[in-house]
Amino acid sequence: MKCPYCSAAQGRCATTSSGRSITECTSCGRVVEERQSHPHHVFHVRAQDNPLCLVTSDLALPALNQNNEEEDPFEPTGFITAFSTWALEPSPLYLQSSLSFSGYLAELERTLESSSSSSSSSSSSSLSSTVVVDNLRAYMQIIDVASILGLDCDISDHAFQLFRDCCSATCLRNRSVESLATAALVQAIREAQEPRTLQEISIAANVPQKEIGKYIKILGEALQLSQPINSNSISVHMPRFCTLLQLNKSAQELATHIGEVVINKCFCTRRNPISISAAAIYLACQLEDKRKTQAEICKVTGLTEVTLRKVYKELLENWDDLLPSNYTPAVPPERAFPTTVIASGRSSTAKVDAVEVISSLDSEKLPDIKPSKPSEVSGMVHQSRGMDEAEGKSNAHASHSTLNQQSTFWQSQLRSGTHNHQNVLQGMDIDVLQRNHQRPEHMAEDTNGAANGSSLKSNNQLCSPPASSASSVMRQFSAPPSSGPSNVRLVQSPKIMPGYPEH
Amino acid sequence: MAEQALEGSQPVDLTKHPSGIVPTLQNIVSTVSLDCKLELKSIALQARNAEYNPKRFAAVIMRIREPKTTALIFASGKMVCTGAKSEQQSKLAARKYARIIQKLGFPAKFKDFKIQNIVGSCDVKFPIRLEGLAYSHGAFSSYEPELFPGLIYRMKQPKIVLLIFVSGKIVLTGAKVRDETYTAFENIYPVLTEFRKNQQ
Repeated sequence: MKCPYCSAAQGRCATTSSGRSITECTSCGRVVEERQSHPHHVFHVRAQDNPLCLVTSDLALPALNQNNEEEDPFEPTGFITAFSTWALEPSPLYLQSSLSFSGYLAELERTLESSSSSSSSSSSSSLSSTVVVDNLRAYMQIIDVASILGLDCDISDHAFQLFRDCCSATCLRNRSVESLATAALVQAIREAQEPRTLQEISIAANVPQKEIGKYIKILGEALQLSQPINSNSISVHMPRFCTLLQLNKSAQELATHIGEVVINKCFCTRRNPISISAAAIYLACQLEDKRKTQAEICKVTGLTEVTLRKVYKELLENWDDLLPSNYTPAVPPERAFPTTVIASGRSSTAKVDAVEVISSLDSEKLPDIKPSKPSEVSGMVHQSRGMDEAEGKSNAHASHSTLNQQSTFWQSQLRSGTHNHQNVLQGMDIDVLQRNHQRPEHMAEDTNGAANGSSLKSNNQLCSPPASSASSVMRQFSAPPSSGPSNVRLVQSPKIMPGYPEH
Repeated sequence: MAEQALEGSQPVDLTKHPSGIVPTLQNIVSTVSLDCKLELKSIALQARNAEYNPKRFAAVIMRIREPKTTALIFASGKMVCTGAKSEQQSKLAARKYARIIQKLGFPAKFKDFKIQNIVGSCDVKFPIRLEGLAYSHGAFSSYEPELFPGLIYRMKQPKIVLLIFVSGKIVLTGAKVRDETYTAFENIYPVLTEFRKNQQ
């Protein structure tokens, strides 16, 4: 067993003043292990019930008393001799079992004894007992938090030392022992360059972050401590986060570089270094094609996803300044983070395509579906159009495959029952249509003027049945097999409506 | 004749302000005793610019527009005046509040007027390495970026607390007189230039 303080392997058995068995380290002298023995009463033997036997030696010993007239009955004769049942007193038999556990508390007890013996001459016994209780509470708090955070024994020892020094330096009446102990642990962690966020420590210690901050200040003032350098910097936290996220070396280096540039160039001045670390990791993961979800990063860093997204967007505003000059990303930045979406956002106006659907299929072959309400049909039209746009098929109306999606359109019929192949946008103004066709798609999408309003109006007209038609039906088209001749033709509408002469 | 530099549109006396930057006073907190017991409920009912919620806070909160200030008036006759931008404004505002109390029928006087706190701010126009500053001035500094983005610098002489932000903005608080604010800033300015961040 190794000593947790000095890693020496040698130990010696000893006993405390209270009579407990302990194992001390031979090199540093600290208590490594404590053993507690429990005697178990196994059974009670009475001599008269069970005569005890004794095997005597078979070697003849020289007679001690040669002048004895009577022979000594206990003379060794080499035979098994039964003792008299009245010769022995009743004696119980016990079995001992031993429990061994960590020697922290025994070490604490010893420490407190040594400190109280030195202070007992000056202070009263009640005061020293209070100090002992406070020290014990603090030690337990430090040990608990250190074990939750997975910290080394040296750090917890140093934290306890800081706590005791602070207790002796200032009056801690009406102060929280647990909070001060936690603050001492934070200071010890920082001095040991063991990165832990205040949030982690706060959760482990069950003490609010503000309270810890307040007591760090008290501790610093009492002991004239200076803040360890780089205790809050991004470079301290980044390696641990990257390790927990199982990132490779290149992603880790890129994230660290991004974080340092952000700090040096003051891009996110009001942001917590943990937030910047998380956003830098997220950015690096995207560039290195090591996709980590926001939830994964947030779980490791202790942030909320909203904060991560906000800081990430702030970083994206200057993303070209963040990358090293000689760095070539695994994923092109345009694909890694679509800056256009972040800069402008998608336009909310729906596109209206002037599409004429011409069919030579027989009307008997297609099932006629009479909608109960026009609004239901318009909803279906919107839905199918939305699906097309979501799949990113800009030329959806020009391919046969999209007709399999059973896109629905309104068509006016002649009273005779034959199809009247009219343009869908018959009810629209000509000048509006011309304006929409002359303008490029993205311009028509982004502008918020009258043309956009009219396009929305035309969309409504498209989705509602024409008022002039006698009977309105909804047709479902299915694409024919690719081997046969195509019965469905999709024709882009001309710039002017049919029936009007070109000038 | 003293050297002068332009700070905004105002000339700056470089003998008094060697840095060439004069902290702007943002808030003055002053106290005064009206030297009489007050009936807060009647004040709240009679005054049009007063609010009083005894469950929430045991004082009448009164406001005036010129100088734009807020006063906390306690039943003991003590009054706290906040929000003024200068010492003269603070005193004038306190007198106006005392006059209002007099008009409401209380024998209010104007005793022991004292400025308790002066808050000033300024901008050094360059970013600052707060980590280095916190490390080298550890006895005076407290920097917890996880809790608050600014460095809290507790100056001993004059006894002023400064909030130093990475952007170069400074807030100075705790002064009793204007000159303490100016002295504190002149003391800290060389330290800030020492820890000026070189933007890459």
